[in-house]
Amino acid sequence: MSNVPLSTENSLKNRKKFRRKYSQKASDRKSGYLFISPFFILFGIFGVFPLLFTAYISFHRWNVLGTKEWVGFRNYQLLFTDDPLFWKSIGNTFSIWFLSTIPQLIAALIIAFLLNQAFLKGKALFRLGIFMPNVTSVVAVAIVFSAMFGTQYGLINYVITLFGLEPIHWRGSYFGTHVAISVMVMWRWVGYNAIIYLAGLQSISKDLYEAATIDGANKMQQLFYITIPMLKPIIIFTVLQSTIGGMQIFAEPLLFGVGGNNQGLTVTLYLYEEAFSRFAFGYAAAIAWLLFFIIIIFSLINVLLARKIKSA
Amino acid sequence: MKKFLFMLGCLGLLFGLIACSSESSTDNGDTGGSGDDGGSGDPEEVELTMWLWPGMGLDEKIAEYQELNPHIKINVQEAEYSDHHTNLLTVLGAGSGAPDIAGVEQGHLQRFKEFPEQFHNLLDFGAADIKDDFLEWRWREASSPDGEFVFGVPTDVGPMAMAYRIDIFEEAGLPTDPDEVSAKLSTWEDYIAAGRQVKERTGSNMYNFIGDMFNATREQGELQYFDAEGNLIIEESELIRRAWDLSIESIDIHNNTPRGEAEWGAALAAGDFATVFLPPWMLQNIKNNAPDTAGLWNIALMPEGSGNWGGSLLTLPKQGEHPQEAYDFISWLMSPENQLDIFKTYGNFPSTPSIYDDPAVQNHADEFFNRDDLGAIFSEAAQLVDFVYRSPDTGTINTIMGDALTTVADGQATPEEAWDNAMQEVRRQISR
Repeated sequence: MSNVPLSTENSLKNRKKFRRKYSQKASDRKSGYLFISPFFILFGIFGVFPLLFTAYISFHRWNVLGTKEWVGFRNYQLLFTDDPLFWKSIGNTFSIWFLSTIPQLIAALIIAFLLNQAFLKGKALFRLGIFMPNVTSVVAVAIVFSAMFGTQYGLINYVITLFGLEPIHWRGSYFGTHVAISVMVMWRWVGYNAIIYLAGLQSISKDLYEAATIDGANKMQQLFYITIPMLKPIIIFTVLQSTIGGMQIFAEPLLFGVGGNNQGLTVTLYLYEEAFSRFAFGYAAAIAWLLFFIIIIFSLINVLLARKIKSA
Repeated sequence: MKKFLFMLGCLGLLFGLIACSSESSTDNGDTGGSGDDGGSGDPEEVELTMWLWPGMGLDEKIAEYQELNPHIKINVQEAEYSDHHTNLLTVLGAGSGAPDIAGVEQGHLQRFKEFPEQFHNLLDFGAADIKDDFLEWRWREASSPDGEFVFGVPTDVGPMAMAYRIDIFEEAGLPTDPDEVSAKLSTWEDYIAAGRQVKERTGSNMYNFIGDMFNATREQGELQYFDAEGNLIIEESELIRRAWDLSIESIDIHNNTPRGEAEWGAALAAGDFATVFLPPWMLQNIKNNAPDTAGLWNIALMPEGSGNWGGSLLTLPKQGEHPQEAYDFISWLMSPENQLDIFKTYGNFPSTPSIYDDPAVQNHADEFFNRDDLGAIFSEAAQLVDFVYRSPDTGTINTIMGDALTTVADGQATPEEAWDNAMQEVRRQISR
């Protein structure tokens, strides 16, 4: 509105009004809002409303079919004081996130770097190949990997024993379950991140590399002194994305199995079980909100770290 | 400010649009039904929606009913087993969108039984007349504790027998004739002793997983986790103690391959365990997972009587507008004669004992299992099943007990630790 020039000479009030109402700018503005409104409306219905409603039911004891009973902060209180399973699920989530994200991003960076090399033939094929896992059904992925990670009849343990090593009990130990789930997550998302990195790489000017080559820098030095610094914003983006995604791992542990000690139980899976197998929707809503805060805190830490790195 | 108002206006407009469109879509649904109503003078035309999950084996019978009753149209909608139950919960919770008829499986039944206000009471439509057609324990499971509210008509039942590998038993020096096997393995102690013999002489295990042993033995009694009043008696229950002890004691002869994992099928095909606890629907699972073992099996009774594993109800959610028509349909569908036909085609074991003596049941042959009298075994087993007192928390406790036994099997906890952890977790979850 501030950029509408309202000249003082135009003192006639109704004229002013007329202009405000019917000027081209104003109607542009209106249609602008109209054009973007579908997003906000859908976001309001499917984003904001459920969010607020979840907050509302987190203060209730509610099994969906019966009546809601107001319990105040009881759900939160129980989560903090008397729910070892919840804290276990948080620990599992972070552990799986750590095990999957860090190797995944490093691998994605290396793959992107290789895909960007001039000597590589058939680039489109490789790019497609690396992205394929991401569009594969997660259920199919989990079933195939579950079979591979079988303790007694699985392919991976078979290979391990060929080398004379002890087979690993994938479903029966923290280490095994976390590694198996992380591998599934990694396999699915490494290509996605590699493609994003590749886009970033292609925006780095060739001149920099040429200058470096003339100065006698080898490929390794180019990677560390040109590529990675130039990719910083994109790396930060992928870290943030993986953090948010990693906190919400669900289908993989659901289909792989969480193990007797619940060593594969992630927060979202716990939430789902509370709601749909124990019908404790209020409790599940409280978990959802705690998870929301955890993700926010974690993302903020990420942003702060990223700022530090940027300014350094 | 103006911007904001304008945005609000836009929002309002779109909400209006959405509201209109949803209204008109429900209108369509309604006119679909009511239009038919007006169009005919004779029996009112009724469309019934029916929610099932795949593999229930009712398709032919549903088609037949529509031919017999041209004014009834049955619209079957299927979703995967667990999605189906989640969907049902959601539409009941939302208060709209529920079908006229919904299948509910035994494992989910207890949770839904907490809310009779969400369902029609079948006694209001004449269910008292068909009560005696069904197995007594199955009908009790379908009813409220006082029997005044009937939630659904039972479909098939899952009485357990025991399948065993003839070749492994022979190699182990055990009898292979079913009657002799039943006699030799009449108690669980005998079963475990035989299992050790199998393990010693053949290297195979006796069964797949201690958690399944716990379930099978637990299902052999009335008082499991709860008594008739719904009090938690898990720590005093002799049945649970015995089921637990038998599971722990036989840990040296289990294969640590829980059913439902890919490993179960691999182990079965490799002959790594010699017996399978066998509700009728398990026959097909064995055939699918280990097709090469055809002819190597036979079936005996399970030690110490049977127990039920599986089976469903057909319920009428309260939201349905044609409960009488829906009831007429499901009571026809699950009548003894029709259950017999379904059994002949799909092998779903009937919940109506009056047809157990029918030659088609008695002489149901299956070469895979070397039997020409499969039905006779399951008829006998079905009548050995006890009614079990369950509560909405039964499923939760089942999961906790299964997890506890898994930690023992995986060496993550000693049996004592696992039991203590399980009891602590049960108390915590029940009190919440």
